[in-house]
Amino acid sequence: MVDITSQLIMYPIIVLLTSAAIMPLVKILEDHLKFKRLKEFLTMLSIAICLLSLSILHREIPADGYLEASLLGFNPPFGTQFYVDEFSVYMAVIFCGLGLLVAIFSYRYMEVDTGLDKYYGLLLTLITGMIGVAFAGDLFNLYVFWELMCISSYSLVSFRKYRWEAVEAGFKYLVMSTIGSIVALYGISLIYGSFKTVNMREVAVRLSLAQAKLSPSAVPSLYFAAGLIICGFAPTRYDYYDRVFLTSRKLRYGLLNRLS
Amino acid sequence: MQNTAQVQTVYMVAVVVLIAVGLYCIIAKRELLKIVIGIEILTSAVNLNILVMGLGDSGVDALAQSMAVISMSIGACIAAVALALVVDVFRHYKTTDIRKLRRLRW
Repeated sequence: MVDITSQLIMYPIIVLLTSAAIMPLVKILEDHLKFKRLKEFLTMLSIAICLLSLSILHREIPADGYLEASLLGFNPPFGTQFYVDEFSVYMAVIFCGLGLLVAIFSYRYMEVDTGLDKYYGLLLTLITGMIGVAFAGDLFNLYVFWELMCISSYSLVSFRKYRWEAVEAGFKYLVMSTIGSIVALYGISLIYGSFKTVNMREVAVRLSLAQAKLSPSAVPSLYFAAGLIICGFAPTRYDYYDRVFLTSRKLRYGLLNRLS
Repeated sequence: MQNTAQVQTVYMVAVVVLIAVGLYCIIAKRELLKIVIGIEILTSAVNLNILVMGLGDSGVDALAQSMAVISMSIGACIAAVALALVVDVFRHYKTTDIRKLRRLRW
């Protein structure tokens, strides 16, 4: 029997990925219908549906605090598992809300550009990656969604490839962030080597069971693996903050120039 | 058991060597293409490490194999985006020397 509540976890990811996948077809349909704004409306609609499913999901979270779902019925330690509590839904709502705002602002801001089907497709996969990171129940799944987010992000940074700033920033961002992701994957592989699973809850259970038997030399290696994961995921976060500060600084200078 | 541990040790040394080569490529080389190659060497090293960690008496664990395959495909995606950006960098700067990419500053 299919558990509808646990399947609800998949809906935001399925809706966004499907919309991203059909975006080239929507472009062809637009040309036939002579209606040039279909992809924008599809993007906003899919993010709105995603927000609606998140609000339903939030009501379904039980009192003990979490919901879980396994992809294609494969249970841990082998299957891909999603794990959702109130904090993950909170983060997913933030990602979707910001994505919806970006889609609304892009309606006018991006109208001078071409290839907007790719732009909106990338925006949707970016949001999917972020939601997947919030929902991931195992470390490798987390890495896969992280990379989905990163690859969309590199492409979006260098979307206006006719400008040198976009290309230079995109390449620098790619090199920095990819090295970080590889370091994180190395840490994940060490965790896998120690526990023979990448499921976070399974790792926690096995660690608590093995705590008494751990040799003194094994403890630093586990700290090393955890440190690699944290240090690996940090550069991408730093890039985001860097970009936010750079943008705010440029805005401030622009405003000052206009006022003076 | 002893044999598996020995094989694991040999491959782990290979992983460390590959990581060192990849990091050297990224840090020391000035060509964008060599930097992309360095990233790919690092990705391959980590994929090899996943397989080494899944190595048991009856061969490599199925979970490790699936993780390595997915990781390889992600690595290919990153290489494709990186190479596309290298082409665009060449169009704008007429060179693939990383030292020339210094126009973007605070």
